[in-house]
Parts: sequence; structure tokens; C-alpha cells
Amino acid sequence: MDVYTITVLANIALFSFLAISAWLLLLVGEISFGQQAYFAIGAYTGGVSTAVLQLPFGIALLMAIAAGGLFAGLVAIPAMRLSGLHFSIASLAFAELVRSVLNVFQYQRWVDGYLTGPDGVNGFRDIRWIYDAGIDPGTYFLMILGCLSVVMLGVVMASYGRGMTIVRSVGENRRLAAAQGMNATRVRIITASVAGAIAALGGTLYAHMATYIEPAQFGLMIGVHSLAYGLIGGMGTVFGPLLGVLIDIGALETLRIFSGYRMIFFGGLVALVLIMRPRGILDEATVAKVQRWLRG
Amino acid sequence: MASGLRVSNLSLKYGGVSALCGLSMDLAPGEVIGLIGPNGSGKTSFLNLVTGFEFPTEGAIFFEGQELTGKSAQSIARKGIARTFQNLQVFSRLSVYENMRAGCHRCSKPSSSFWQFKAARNAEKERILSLLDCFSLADMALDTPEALTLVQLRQLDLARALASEPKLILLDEPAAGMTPYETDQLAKTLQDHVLNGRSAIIIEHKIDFIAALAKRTFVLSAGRAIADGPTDEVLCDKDVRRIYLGECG
Amino acid sequence: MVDFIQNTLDGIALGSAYALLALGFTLIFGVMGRLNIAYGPCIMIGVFAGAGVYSDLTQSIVMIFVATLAGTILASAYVERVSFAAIRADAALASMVSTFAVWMQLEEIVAHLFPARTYAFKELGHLSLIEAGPFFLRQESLFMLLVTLAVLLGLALVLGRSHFGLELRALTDSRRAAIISGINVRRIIFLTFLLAAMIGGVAGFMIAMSDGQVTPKFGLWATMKGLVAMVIGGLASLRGAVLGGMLLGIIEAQAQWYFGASVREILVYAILFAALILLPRGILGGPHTVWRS
Repeated sequence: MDVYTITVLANIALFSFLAISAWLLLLVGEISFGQQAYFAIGAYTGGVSTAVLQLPFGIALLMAIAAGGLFAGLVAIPAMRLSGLHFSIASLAFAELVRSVLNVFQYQRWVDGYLTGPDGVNGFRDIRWIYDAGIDPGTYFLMILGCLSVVMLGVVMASYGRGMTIVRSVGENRRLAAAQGMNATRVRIITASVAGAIAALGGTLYAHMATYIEPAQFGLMIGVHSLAYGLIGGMGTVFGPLLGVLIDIGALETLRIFSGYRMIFFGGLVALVLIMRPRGILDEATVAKVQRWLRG
Repeated sequence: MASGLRVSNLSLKYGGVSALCGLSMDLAPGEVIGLIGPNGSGKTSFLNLVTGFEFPTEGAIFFEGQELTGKSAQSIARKGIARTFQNLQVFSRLSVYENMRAGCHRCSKPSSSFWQFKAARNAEKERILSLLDCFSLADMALDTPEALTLVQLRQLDLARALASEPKLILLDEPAAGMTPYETDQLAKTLQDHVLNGRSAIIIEHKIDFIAALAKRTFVLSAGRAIADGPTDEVLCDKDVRRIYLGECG
Repeated sequence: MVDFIQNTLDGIALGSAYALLALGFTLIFGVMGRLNIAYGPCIMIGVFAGAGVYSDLTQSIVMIFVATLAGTILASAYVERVSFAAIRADAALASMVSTFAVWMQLEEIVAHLFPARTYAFKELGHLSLIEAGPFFLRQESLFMLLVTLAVLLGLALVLGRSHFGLELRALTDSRRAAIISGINVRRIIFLTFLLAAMIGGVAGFMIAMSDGQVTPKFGLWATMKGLVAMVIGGLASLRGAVLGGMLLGIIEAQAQWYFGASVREILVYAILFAALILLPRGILGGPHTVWRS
């Protein structure tokens, strides 16, 4: 595969983390405009770990996951008292807060004769672990894919057990869920925390592929995009958000005929899909039908 | 007596309006009580208080010797008290099977290995399917509730409440909107699968239904208990007939 | 103290623009229970239409105003048809994501029609200052304030006196009761979108005039400010929206003066986050609005 194809595929995989993260929150009944915050936290934590602190990549991944999960959990504890639009705006406020803090955040050290580290608005250069470790793009793509598979396997396992049923129940009707013995608040906080950790994992993988990150990359736009992916692809299965990303980045970015008009087509397509299928292409009813068919 | 449900002096006020006024009730294990009364007499409020959806202004609730007053809905549900809802509530985007799984909270324990997990899941599946079978819903297991009729939805609500293997089940007008034939069928199903040895409180306006299922009946009027005793006696009581059935004389 | 009062004055002027944006959001949220995040981008279409007329056709302030208003209204009507009227009544979330999709379209349309990105807009002369003791008011601030007051007055008249206003208030109160009373809900919603578009068009026009230029970033900016001001005000209240806008303007002006631009950003979002947690009903909000898909 040539480098261009690999880059597009890697981008699809990386945005899938963010899309799955937003999708999980949608399932638990919350619309988050702010999952990009945890993507950014992951990117910066991971970048600082390898580039500045010279830690191994595996540790960097773990630290990013921990940071994303921790921040998302801490935000969720007060924010989960809010409902609906209030939660959405709170998530947006937090994301913009993170972005504006990163705009002034400086943490630079001399590493091998270079001044390395986040430098406020000027961004964070030279997150060069994959080059230093001599990993070629193809291999790195496989690593991203591996991480994504782990996340998706986690979701699949959770739907095999009772996990996803609990998440969906709470998302649909909190009162009724409480009558089934579910602690709705705890379920929502844990889900938010897991979603934050997933976004942070994606962020750290992104930072190491891009080698350069800056606060402006983590604006409202990618947040709302990731929210849209889940709803276009469908709410019924974890492959929904993936399908959304594939449609946007995969099909439209690679098809040259759309160049320059991508957003007009994508926007129109999304609007159409939502008119016909308000819960996405792979919505719950479709998934149920497919499952039925598979079981004969 | 340590077991069963004991409610003492329960009151609920909304501002100046009293929904319930000093209500007391004892329910022995395995006993089935019919709870009747005119609209607005506080029947559903009583259910909401027992299940933690509302909190009493005064009074206390005990179940199996433990105090439930002030406990959250989910912790009460975990103690083995299940309920259904008068205004039907199902998870409409979850399949029938998943609705049942949502109800299985009291039977799922964390497993230490994948095989144990798998075995537990299969056991759960079997239990759910046999429950669905009791309510003739097994064929619809993978459908979403949108495909179900009203009667089937009520049965799903019931089956889900049973999935947690509750010790006490509270039914809020389970036969509302059903034809006489369907009501009879429901009474049979309840007798065969729900009430065998389990304690229950049934709210219902259909007197025959109550008479068929509950040996004891409790009558509420304007938030107060006006009668409590064997069903046939209570239903013959003059005051009850006057207040509830609107008979004169 | 002098600084503080001066900042407050500047903040009120800026805040009056935010107040209008928040009003537009609140009106639509009130009748639909849904969020139109493409509201800012619709206004952006309007101001670009105004800028186009200004650079190619005429210097006439009336014509530029008409073009701005027409652009905003057209774009809003498109949003209403595609993202609200066409989407099932029980799918609020789909509506919101759909408005986002339309936003993407609007941005790209502007990018194609106006490739240079930044365009000049008819400017108010901002040389003269109105002075009163140690304080001064820039002319465009006064202009903004007056225009906002005029819009508020007009809106109060429309809502309070006209039959449409009555129907709009009824619909905001209870959709079901409105339907039962024989109100043509779809018509009222469409008209409310037009009303919100007019308010947005006026806001966009005066912001563009005081900036003297327009950029494609306007859409995102207007949506953010309007949303934030609306939430501070408490979602469902028009008075709250106006107060929320003013408050946001004053906080921004103070923070800008005392701490600089980057800290201003941090402070505004930190305050917003804290305010949501501590005062979820906003400063003037009604009963807690539960907003679900």
C-alpha cells in the first residue's frame, strides 16, 4: 500500500475512536459536543510522555487512557446532574476550556539538544517516537488497528454480557432502569469515563502519527463531526460510528470527483439519511432484523 | 415479625395536599393483597413510596426487617421488590430479549473467567426464554416492542419484573385496557407463574380480577385506609360499596 | 473603578449583539424543543450576501441590509425545511445533527462563492466618540445598543400584540395544547424560523458593520456565543436570553481588560461550566427543561 492510502486508512481508524466515544455517550442518553477534549488530553499526555519524558510508548498509551478516563469521570460527576441540553453545553464548555488552557500551556524541556514540548498556541512539535523507534507507516497503521480492535472487542463483549443492555436501558429511560435495580448515575459516570478513555487512546495514537499537534486541531468542529458519525452510521451497533467515519473520510475524501464539494455532498447525504432513518443506517431495528436473520 | 413488608403511618404531602395520610399495612411472605380505591385515592403514590420513586413525608417502610425509607429506587429493586407500571413502560429501543435482560439484575454475578461468564450467560438465556414462554412471547424475543400488541406489552412488563426473581411484586393496574377475556387469561397466568408463593400487591379496578387473585383486600379513599380484610367481606362492606362503587344506601 | 465601568459599557454593547443571537436560539428552541446549531452559519450566509452586494453592486446601506436579511432568511428557510420539517417529530437528536450537516454545506458554499475568505463590509465611521466625563462610548457601541433596543421592542410587540405572537407563545407552552386548539403548528414553526432569521440578520448586519469585514469563521462564532448566552439565561426564557447575552458581553469585556485575550477564553468557559453545574436553570430559567431525543 502506498503512504497516501495508509494515511487515509489510519485517519479513518483514528476518527473511529472519537466516533465510538461520542456514540457511547449517545447510548447512555447524553449528547456530548466535547469528546475532542479527551482526544486532546490523550494527544498531549501521550506526546509529553514519549517526547519530553522519554517514556516507552506502551506506558504513554496507558497514561493517556488513564488521563482521559480520569478527566472524563471527574467532569461527569458534576455534569451528570444536568440533563439534555445542559449536559451538551457543559461538555462543550469543558472542551473549549481545555482548548484555551492548552493555548497557554507550556512545558518544554531540552531533549537531545532540542527544545521539546507543548508551547501554547504554537503547538507541540516533534513527537517523533515512531521515527526514533524505526516503525514504518504500515506497521504503525496495524498498531492503530490493533488498538481499535481491542476497543471494539470490548464493546462486543459488553453486549454479550449485560453491559450494553444496562447502558442502553439507562440511556432510554432512567426511571425504568432504576426500577430494574440499575444505579443510573453510576452507569452514566462510568460510561462517560470509558468514553473519555477511548477518545484519549485515539488522541495519543493520532499525536504520534501526526508528530505535530496544536490546540486549534481540537475545536468544536471535530467534536460535532464525531457526534454525527455515530448517528449517520447508526445507533444499533458499534459498527455504526465506524460506518459513519468510512462514509465521510473514506468514500468522500478519496473520491476525487467530490474534491472541493465534499461537504456539500456529505452534508446533503447526512441530511437525507436522517430524514429517512433518524437513528442512522444501522439503527436498532435493522440490527435486530439482521440478528434474527443470522440466527435463522 | 421480621419478614414481609411492613409499612407504618405512611404520609405523603405535596405542598398542602395530602396524597396519603397515615397509612399502615402488614404483608406476610407469600400473601397477595388487592389494593383498590377511586382514582386519586393514593394507590399509585403508595406503590411509588414503597419502590423508592417518591419519598414519604412521614412514616417508615420495612422489608424483611430492613428499613427501606429514603433508599433509592435501585437499591430497593435490588432487595427483591419489583414493580410494573400503570402507564406501560418498556425500553422501546431494546429487543424483547434485551428488555428481559435488563430485568435480570438480581441474578447476574461477576464471573471470574470467560467460561464461567459464558455458562452464566447461557443459564440466563434459558431462564429468560422459559419466562417468555410462560407469557407466549418466546417467538418475539428478537423483535423490538414496537411490534407488540398492548396485551403483549403488559406481559413483557410483567415478565421483566419477574426476571429479577423478586420476593415481592407490585402490579399497577396490570389488566388496564384489556378485554374481559384477556383479563381472565391474565389472571390465570398470574396465578400459575407469578403468584406461586410470592407476595404481591395488585392495584386494579376490575373487582372480579382482584377477587380471583387476592384473599385480602385493602381499600384506599382520599389517602386513607377505609377497609382492610378478607376480600369477600371487604367487597360486601357498605362503606366500600358506597365510596368505591358509588352505590347509595 | 473607572476602568470597570468603562468595560461594563463596552461589554453591554458587545453583549447586546450576543443577546440578539441568544434570542434567535431561544425562539426556535422554544417552539421546537430542538437546537438549531446552523443558526450562526445562516447568519453568515446573510452577511456574506451583504458583503457581496457591497463589493459588487452598491454602497447603499439599505440594499446591503436587505441583502443580509434576505440571505439569512433564505438559509434559515432551507434549514427549517431540511432539518426540522422533514424529520420525524420524535427525533430531536437527528434534527440537531442534520443542522450540523447543513452547516457544513453552508460553509462550503461560502468557500466557493467567496474564495478570498475575508471580505470588506460597509463600515460605520468609528472616529467620533461620545464622551461623558471619564467615560466614552464608541459610536458603533451606541448604534448596536439602539438597534438591539429597537429589535427588542419590535419583538415584544410581535409576541405580545399579534395573533402570530399569541400562537407562538401557546406553542412554546404546550405543543399538544396548541395542536388541540387548532393552531397550525407547522406554519407557526416556519414563521418562527423566519422571525429568528430576521433577528439574526439584524444582529449579523450590525456586527459586520462594526467589524468592517466578514470571514467564514462568523458562523461558528455566532453559534457559540448565542448558545452560551442562551444557556446562561436559562434556555426557555426570552428575558433570560437578553440578560445572558449582556452578562456574557460584560464578563468578556472585563476579562479581556484585566487578563488579556487568552485568559479571557479560559475564564469565560470556566465560568460557563461552573454556572451550568451550580445554576442549571440559568439566571432566569423556568422549570428544568428535560431535553431528550
